[in-house]
Amino acid sequence: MEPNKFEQEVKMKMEQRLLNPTPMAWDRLDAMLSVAETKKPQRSYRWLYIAASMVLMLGAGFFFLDKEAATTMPSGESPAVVAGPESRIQAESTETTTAAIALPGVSEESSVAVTRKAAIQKEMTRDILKEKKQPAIVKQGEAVAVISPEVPSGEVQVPDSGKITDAVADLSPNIKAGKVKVDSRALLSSVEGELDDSFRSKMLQSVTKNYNTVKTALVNRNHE
Amino acid sequence: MLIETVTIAAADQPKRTTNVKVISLHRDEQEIIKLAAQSNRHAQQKIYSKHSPKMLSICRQYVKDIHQAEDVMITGFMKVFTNIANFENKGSFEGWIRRIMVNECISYLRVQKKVSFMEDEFYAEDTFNNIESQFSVEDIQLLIDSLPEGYKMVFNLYAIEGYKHQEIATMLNISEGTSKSQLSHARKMLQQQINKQKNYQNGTE
Repeated sequence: MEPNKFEQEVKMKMEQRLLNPTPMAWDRLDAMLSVAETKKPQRSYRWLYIAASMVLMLGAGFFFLDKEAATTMPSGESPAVVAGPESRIQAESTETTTAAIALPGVSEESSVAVTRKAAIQKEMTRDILKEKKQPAIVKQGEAVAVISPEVPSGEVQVPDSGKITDAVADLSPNIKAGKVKVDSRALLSSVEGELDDSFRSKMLQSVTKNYNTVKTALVNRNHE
Repeated sequence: MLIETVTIAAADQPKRTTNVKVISLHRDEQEIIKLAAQSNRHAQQKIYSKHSPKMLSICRQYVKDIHQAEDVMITGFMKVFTNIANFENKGSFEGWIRRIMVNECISYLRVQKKVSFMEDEFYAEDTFNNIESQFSVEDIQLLIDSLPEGYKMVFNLYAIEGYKHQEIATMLNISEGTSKSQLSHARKMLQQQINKQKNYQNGTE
């Protein structure tokens, strides 16, 4: 099936024909073009919508982050503070003297055991023993003698340490206060630093996440 | 067309200068297209003035009424100027405009005249007429006008624009078989019309 003679003639003759349009035709076209041109520059709302949605998402991210930070802050402090003194205590437990050899078994139990007060008081007795060591061997011997019979008794808990702490009640509060003060300050500053870091990283994460969601939305829109 | 006239006129001149003229004409056209893309009204009018007579002729092939044909042509030119920034200078600018114009005519006929195609696959491998007589342009246009819209569209796309059946099928959203069948019907009808006119002229009817 190919164009036949007639169709070839049709093509040849029609190709040569020219029809002049009316003069009004250009005027109409001119008017249509002007209308189209005035319409064009005003259509740029799309980017506004995208920017607004980005701002909203960032705001939502901030809002939820604040909520999270508020709830995690209080619980975050106390365990850190508690952890501090205990670690200090465990550090000191390594500095035990011969006098405290008898006690290690007990002290280890207590550090693993229930209250930290008992642990601190145990430390008190040890420290007191340490201090007592320096003045006189006799006193040390006495302390050992005092404590060693107590050890086999088995229940070397609060009441026993209470006896010794009562004897040196003056020293203990100072020592306790001094030690805890220094510790808590350092501990708090380190904990705060940790919290800030996590906040910063959380912020960065939320910002990048929002940016990526907007980007994917844009790309998907372009594909449609 | 313009390029052809230049080469004919300069036939006796050395070939080099005519080639240079052709190249400079092309560059001028590119300049004007660039300006038109920037909404330069003067450039747009130049393009319109240069191409509108040809384009109106094409529209008239599809649309019987000259005023409606002009409307279709103006709509076509609107599309040309809206999309002129997308023209990549790969190929003929006139060819690009022409394609837009033909598509506009098809849209117009489908929407305004509500043309739908009877999906029949019948076509006869006709031993076609050996028409000896020469037709004038007006006669040919009248013959084409006498065709129903569907046959007319396929005939014009096949005979004048030179598209193949597969391409016509895509453009009109029909099957290739339907395109062939429509052309066959168109040819049959034209044959009948031509014979009728001949008989009138010969005085047998």
